[in-house]
Amino acid sequence: MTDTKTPAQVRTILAVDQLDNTSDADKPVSTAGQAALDLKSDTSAVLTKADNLASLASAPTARTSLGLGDAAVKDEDDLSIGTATQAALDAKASTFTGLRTQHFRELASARDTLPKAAVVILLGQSLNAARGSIAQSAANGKTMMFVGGAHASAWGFWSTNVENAAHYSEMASSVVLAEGGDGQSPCAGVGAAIVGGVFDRSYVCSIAIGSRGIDKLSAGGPKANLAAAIERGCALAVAAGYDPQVMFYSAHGEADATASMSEDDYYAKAKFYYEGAQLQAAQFMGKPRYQAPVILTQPILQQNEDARSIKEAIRRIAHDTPGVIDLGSIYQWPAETDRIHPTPTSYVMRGEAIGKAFRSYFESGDQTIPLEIVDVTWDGSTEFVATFNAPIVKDTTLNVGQNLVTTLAEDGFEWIDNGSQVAVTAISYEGYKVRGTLGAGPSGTTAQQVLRIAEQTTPSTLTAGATNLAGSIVRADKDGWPSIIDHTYDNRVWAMPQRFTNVRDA
Amino acid sequence: MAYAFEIPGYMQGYIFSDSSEDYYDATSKTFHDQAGYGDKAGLTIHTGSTVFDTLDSRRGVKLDNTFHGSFKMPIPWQGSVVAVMRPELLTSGTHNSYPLIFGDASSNSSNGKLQLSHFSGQRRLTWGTPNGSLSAVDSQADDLMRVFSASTDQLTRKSYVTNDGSTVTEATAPTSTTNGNAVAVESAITGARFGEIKGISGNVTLETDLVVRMYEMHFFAGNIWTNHATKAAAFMTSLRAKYGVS
Repeated sequence: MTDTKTPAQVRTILAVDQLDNTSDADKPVSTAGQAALDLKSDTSAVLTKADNLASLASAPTARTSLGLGDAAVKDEDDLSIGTATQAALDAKASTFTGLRTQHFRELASARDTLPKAAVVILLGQSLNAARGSIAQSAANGKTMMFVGGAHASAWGFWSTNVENAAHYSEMASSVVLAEGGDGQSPCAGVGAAIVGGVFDRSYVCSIAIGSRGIDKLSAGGPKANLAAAIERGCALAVAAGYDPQVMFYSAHGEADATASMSEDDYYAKAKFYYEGAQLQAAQFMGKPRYQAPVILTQPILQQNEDARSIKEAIRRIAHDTPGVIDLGSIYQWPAETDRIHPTPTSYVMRGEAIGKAFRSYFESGDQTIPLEIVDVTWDGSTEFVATFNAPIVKDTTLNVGQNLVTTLAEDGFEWIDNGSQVAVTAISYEGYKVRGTLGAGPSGTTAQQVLRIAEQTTPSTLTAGATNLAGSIVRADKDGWPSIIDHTYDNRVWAMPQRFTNVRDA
Repeated sequence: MAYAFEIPGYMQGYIFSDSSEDYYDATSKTFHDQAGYGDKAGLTIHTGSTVFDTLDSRRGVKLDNTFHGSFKMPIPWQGSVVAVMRPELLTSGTHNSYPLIFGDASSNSSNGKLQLSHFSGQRRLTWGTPNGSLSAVDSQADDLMRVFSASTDQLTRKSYVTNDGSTVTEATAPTSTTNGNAVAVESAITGARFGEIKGISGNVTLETDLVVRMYEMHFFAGNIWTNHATKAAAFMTSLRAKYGVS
């Protein structure tokens, strides 16, 4: 082996001879090392532990040494907020989110200490101008009507000018509801029934009279009038020192039932309209969380598919829309000679029912629900049992409806076997239940059986006094109440036309 | 800084940006109501896809007719609107249709609406009532950002317009015998339309004559220029600063 080199020689050859024997004094400060040193303070500028202990022997001296001037130590309660801290807090308080949150908190509780006034907007009532016809309402002195600021009997604007938006003058003031002519309006009944309890006063306005269809209500003047009525009703209540609570009652399904409107079309348009009404109520009240109740009643008509479609659409809207209440059929008898419109007194009775339903909603949170069949069992032969959602009775005095084919129906009950009507020969009442007997045993399966109430197609005009009508012959037992206005009347909740398809085996 | 909710009667409002979920929900294509009245007060794009657009670092939507929406009109009878918008005139001359910012069909002059039009180099924002009985116009000769406000007042039967919060122009009131439609604004059965230019539902042909970028739109009860002028002016001043309007 020749030319042997030592490790030191090899390092020299490779020019790395300083690699492992550089003295500490000769080592330069690396870049990283210098960067780390830059983060440190010179020892001359730092108080040592001994320095601090010496300085702390005298607090003022210590504060001076620490650059704290003459600041004295204070309890937490005595500490003031520094200028910078206060500035920072000020900036926080004025942020968009903070101010907005505060704003909505204030809105939510606005006017809470004031007495409450009901602002009731009636939508799409009958053609005759809305009038109070009962002096009793005037006597309470707390039901105000504000269209035109005129005597209630002078209302002609809405029936003659239904497509136009209201003039401000018609909404500028209100007067106590007074006895008018023989108009047809639930206004008087609503006002009479709603005052007392939660509400110390009511403002009642009826809009779109004579233009009851949802298409009419949704377009042109009536749409602007809805906003006008809500806005002015709230403004009048606030000006009088009240906290307004807006609510709606709509009967316009009646018109749509005769207008060949489909269920889905009516559902979509009416739902949009009512949700818009609820939104505008909250907006004009300045209460973002307020959900105005909307009471709908079922059309009295029942002789065609369109009427049934509207009834079903109303059920769906009430089911799908918070705050919307399906009050079912609450018509009172007698009717006018056209057998369609209730008499003025009957209209007022209807208003009482609406007013009471609103009071129930606000005072106890209850929602009045329509009388309905909720269950039907069939024994596979000739006996069936229908269960309602309330105790029922047969009422042969206040009924209204259409004559049925009496050989097939009894008390408005009809049985359909796989599409064919089977005679109902007997009906008995017991609490929540109705027991029925069929003239012959159906041949179809259980799933093919249908129990209908008051749904028979017939061209007959409405009539009263008979015991075999497709209409309001079945009513809730003990659900009536003495009328405020006319003690010869009771308001009652009637069974509305219904088609029950989920029949099950007994 | 002044905000919309500091003006009494703030009813409904939108910020046309997708920079925050508080402004826009991409799934439902809905601009959320900024006044706090919830989902029912949203503005939903129902036809086409929302066109967001950034110009001079400002995020907004570009109403070019390729998307349409609607919302529940808060002031069909009377009320006020404050909006931030920026016109873009692409071609001069006679145009067949103009951008509908909101209202009923843009193709029908008898419908109430807020609409941008063009005449002799002027970009005209028109706040109009049905039959043109009452209209307030704000004009500009350029394509610069604009803060705009208009009111309709049933008590005075006038409309009001301003672009700076200090000079408020009043339109002449129609005669007292004219029916209420001369003053009220909205008549759309499905709510206020937003962004239509051709005036034909479903027609989303790209507009190449005149478009408008929208940044904010806020609605108030009543006439803010007679009832709350100081706060309304402060809000407009803040919007002008926010959007760099000199």
